[in-house]
Amino acid sequence: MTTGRDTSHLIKTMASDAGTPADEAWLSFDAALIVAVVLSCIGALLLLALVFGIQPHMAAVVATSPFQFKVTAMAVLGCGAALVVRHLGRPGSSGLAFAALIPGVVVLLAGAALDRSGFPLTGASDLSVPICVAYIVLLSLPPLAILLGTLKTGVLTRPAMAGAAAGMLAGAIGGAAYAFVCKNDGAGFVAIWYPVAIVSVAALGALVGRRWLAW
Amino acid sequence: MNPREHSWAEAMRAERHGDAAAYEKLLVEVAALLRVLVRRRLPQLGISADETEDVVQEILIGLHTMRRRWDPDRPFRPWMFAIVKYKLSDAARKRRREALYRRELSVEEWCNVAEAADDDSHRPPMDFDKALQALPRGQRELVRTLAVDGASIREAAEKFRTSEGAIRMTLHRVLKRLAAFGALDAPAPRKAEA
Repeated sequence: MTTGRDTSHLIKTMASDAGTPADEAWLSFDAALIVAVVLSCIGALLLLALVFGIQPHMAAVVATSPFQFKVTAMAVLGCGAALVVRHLGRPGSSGLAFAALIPGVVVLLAGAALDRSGFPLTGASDLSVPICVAYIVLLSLPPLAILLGTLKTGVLTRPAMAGAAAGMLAGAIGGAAYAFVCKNDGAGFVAIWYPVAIVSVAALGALVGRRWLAW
Repeated sequence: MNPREHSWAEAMRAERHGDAAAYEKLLVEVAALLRVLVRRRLPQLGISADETEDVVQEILIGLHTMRRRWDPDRPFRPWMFAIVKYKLSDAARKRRREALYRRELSVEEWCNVAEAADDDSHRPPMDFDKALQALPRGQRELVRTLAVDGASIREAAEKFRTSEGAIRMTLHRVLKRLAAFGALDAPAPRKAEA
């Protein structure tokens, strides 16, 4: 059986490491997270360009209010998720960060409540829902990989939860990217199916994070 | 604020400047606190308190590995306790899983022992369907009812309108017959090979 004497010995060994530059991160966790979010956006847009090509009407799409609603909702939700990720990567920080998810939900719900477009909730065609959800999940994969990689530089004490938060952030980024090609402009559609995709990515993130982020 | 917060945070900062003595003092104090905490928590997590010292070491190693990721501008104790909580539940989970694995392995080992005693490995596997076909129709029906439909002895007894004892007797005879079939039939394929 291990005894207190063994522990004293271990402590002496560890103490002799004092001052040696071990595991020195060249970026603080916060800075790394910001870089990761920027890279995630680039990654999602690159994949979008790869899958859909650069379409001439994209410039016109950007000026439309449905596009702006989608991107705004995803940005607000994404910022909230980023704060949650930051909280989960820094032990002992305030769990109030979870409240940061509320504004995104409010924007989505308000958009849906004020939706007067009359567009059907299941989209323009029978395949709208599966296509939309599948593409958002697909576009979220590069961000998810980047974010999970970056989380490794934090101190994770809740790996599955951190993975889920990274998934939410990745999903929001994927949703914003998909807005460029999304033909379903009803706010109700966005309020239901975008979050379904985001929650799927969050579940995937939790599943991967549970093992990958454990240490 | 906890009186130790200041001295511990100071020691964590001192470590970065190579102050081994201050860091060792911190680790000794943390270890003493952990010993009390872990010894109390382990039984609640379903682990023997005998594991205390090992778990304390695992937590200390965790803190040591992550020490440079602590932000010196933030409080140390909340950071430390979040890691302690994680490492403690992780250690408990690992031990529970290992215990489960050990049980599974013992069953496997038991099977291996049983197989080894038979030493049937060189014999081609018995053709179960063929053996089944060789049974009288009534016995075949019984095997199907019990093994395929998953009926209980009582249900089988009700189905065949007989007693549970009779079912058990028949089952015993069937098993003997199947075993004999497997044993008697075994040399035949080998002859065919030769």
